[in-house]
Amino acid sequence: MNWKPRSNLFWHRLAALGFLLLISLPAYAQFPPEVDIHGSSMRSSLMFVIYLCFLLFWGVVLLAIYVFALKTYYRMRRAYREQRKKHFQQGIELVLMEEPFDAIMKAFEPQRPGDLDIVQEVILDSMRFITGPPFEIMKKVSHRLGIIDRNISFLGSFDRHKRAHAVETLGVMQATQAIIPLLEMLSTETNDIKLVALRSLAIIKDPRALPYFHHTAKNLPPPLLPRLASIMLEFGPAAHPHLHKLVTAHRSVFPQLMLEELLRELATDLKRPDL
Amino acid sequence: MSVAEFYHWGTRVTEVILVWYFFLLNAIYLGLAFIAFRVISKHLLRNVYGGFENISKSPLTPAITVLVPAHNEAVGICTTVNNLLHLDFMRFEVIVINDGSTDGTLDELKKAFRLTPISIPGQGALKTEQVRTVYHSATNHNLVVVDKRNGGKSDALNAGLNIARYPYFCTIDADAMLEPDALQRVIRPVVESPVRVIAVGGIVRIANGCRIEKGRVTDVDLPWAPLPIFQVVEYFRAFLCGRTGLSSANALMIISGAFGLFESSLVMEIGGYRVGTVGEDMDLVTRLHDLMVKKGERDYRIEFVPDPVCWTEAPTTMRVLMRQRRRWQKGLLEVLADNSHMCFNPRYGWLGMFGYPFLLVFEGWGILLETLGYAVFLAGWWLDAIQSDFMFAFFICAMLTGTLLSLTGIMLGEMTPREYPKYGQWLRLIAYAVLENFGYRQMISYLRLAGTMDFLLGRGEWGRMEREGLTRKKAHAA
Repeated sequence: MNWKPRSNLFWHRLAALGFLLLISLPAYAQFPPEVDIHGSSMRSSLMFVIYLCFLLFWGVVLLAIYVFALKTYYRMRRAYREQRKKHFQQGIELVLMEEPFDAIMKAFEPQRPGDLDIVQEVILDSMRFITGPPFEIMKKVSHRLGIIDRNISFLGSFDRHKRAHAVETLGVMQATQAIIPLLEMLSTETNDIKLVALRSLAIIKDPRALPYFHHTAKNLPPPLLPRLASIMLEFGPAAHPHLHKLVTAHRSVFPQLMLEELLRELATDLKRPDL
Repeated sequence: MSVAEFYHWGTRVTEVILVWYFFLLNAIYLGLAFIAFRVISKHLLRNVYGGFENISKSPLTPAITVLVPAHNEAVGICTTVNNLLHLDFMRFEVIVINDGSTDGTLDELKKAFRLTPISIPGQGALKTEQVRTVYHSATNHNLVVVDKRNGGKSDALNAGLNIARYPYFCTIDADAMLEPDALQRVIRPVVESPVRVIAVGGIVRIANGCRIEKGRVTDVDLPWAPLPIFQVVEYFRAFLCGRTGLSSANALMIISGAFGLFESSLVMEIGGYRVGTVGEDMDLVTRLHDLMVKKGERDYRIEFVPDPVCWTEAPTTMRVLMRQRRRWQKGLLEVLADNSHMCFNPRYGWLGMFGYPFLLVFEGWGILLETLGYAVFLAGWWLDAIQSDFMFAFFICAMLTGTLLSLTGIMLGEMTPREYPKYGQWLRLIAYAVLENFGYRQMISYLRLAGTMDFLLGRGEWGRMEREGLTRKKAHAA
């Protein structure tokens, strides 16, 4: 008989079949059969199903209540925050109308517990769109209200999402005092928070942070390097030599099309022999 | 052992196997739902500091080609294309492929976008039916229309791929609408993942009943007809529980044909979409997995984004739903049969050891066991071989498990953006999550069985989805 050794795949399939047979063992274990199927004692399978029904019923009820409570909580929270936001948005108008700083500060003064979060959200939303002197005023307000210091302290939080959110907030507020803690995060954080920190540093636009981008590049997985380059572009012309260095060092990571785009951005000759 | 004894023993064995099957299936689904809950929670928290704007505006973010195959879609094609042309993304092109329409789809496009012929190209890298003309829009620089002879959806997508310019392409059904930030959301895993992401799927939500203005879903609402609401519940369960859970283990085998993003070069490498298959979307994803494993590139992912990105029209009539589900089941079995080498193959990681066997046992051939279950239970009850109390308890158990799973899907849907805003809508969803156990699920099982028979007997039609058109619904809503 011509016997051929079986592949690993065969044994894996056999093991899987064995598993399926094993889980059906309880069925075969009942041989010889219970002839009196309508006996007075309740069968174990029926008991199991009844217990399962009981559990599932409460599962369904609790889940429905949970979803209901969740929905209600979020609706109420959203409505409350919207109402409070409207109150604080008057402060933005005062900033745009170039009202005195004290009046602006008064408009942003938190009055109830939890108001500081709402004030931060209002200020953050406006700072994404305004520039020039109004932006500087908003920054000053954030500083005076302790929002910047609060977010810097959040950078050490155990909750990674809280840390990441604080990083984002500090970036949008262009908080220069956060540069050093943000640079420190580049060597301690996970990749996704590193990216948020890099983005924030790029928004703050202090070119002294650029060499740290190179250092971070050494520790980032290659597929993330194009993203790093993309963030570096936010620095404007100051980043061009650094970008050039980055692309030269990790040329294989950048697809041809992306290289062309990058070179176009850098406004350099496409025929440069070193790229 | 007498014949009667053997009969009773056989019934008990079948009964226990069915109970085990039921228990395993639902335990896996609940496990996937639990994983999905964790994944979605994390994902939503990450969205807060997602940096979408930076991704969208960066010149280094890969550009995307949006492929829209259209066959007799005159009713809604212009709305769809308008919607696509106003997506919030820096660099993308829209290629509409008119696949031999006979209802004036091309004329509608010509009228709306002032199309002018640019060339009659030769054969591209992928072989397709003859391309008659390629048009460029005078009003939108990033719109191209390909007019070709009818060859099916896969053939149309291949024709689009032949002229696609960008490194990633996204496919979208001609009746679907994208959220304005859909491309940003699906490209994020590609640019921000530490490993290579070769394909991304997103949630497809049902637009029936929603208010639509200028090709955008402005108010999320439920339809009044029961059939689409059952499908809303079903989509939540399938997308949010199943696909999110499988994706976290990189075991996702299905990215909906209605909306998905793929790396163009890899798709070209595997020869594009396979023509002649019913489940071309699943087939493509499976072949991509296969390619990466055969190339020895284990560090890759096929991701699923739990953000609502795409809205589509669900079948409103039984006839269309029947065709659709039979086609899906047949497509699933075809792909599973073509890729049997993946089953319990450790080279494919979680996909081989869990994803494929799960689909094979529970989604594919499990329907035969389910049907057997219905038959055995009914026959057993009729012949007095199964206690009616057991049967009743089992039915209640099945109903509660189904409801629990659907509720989990609804809850996850509530967590994601564009949730149903009113309590009334939410209560209706819950009611339908319970009601679907009385008839709808059994009907879907029947349709899956019919699809399985189509596969086994090698029969079946391509089927067409008949659309009311999303713009017309706006008029109803108003």
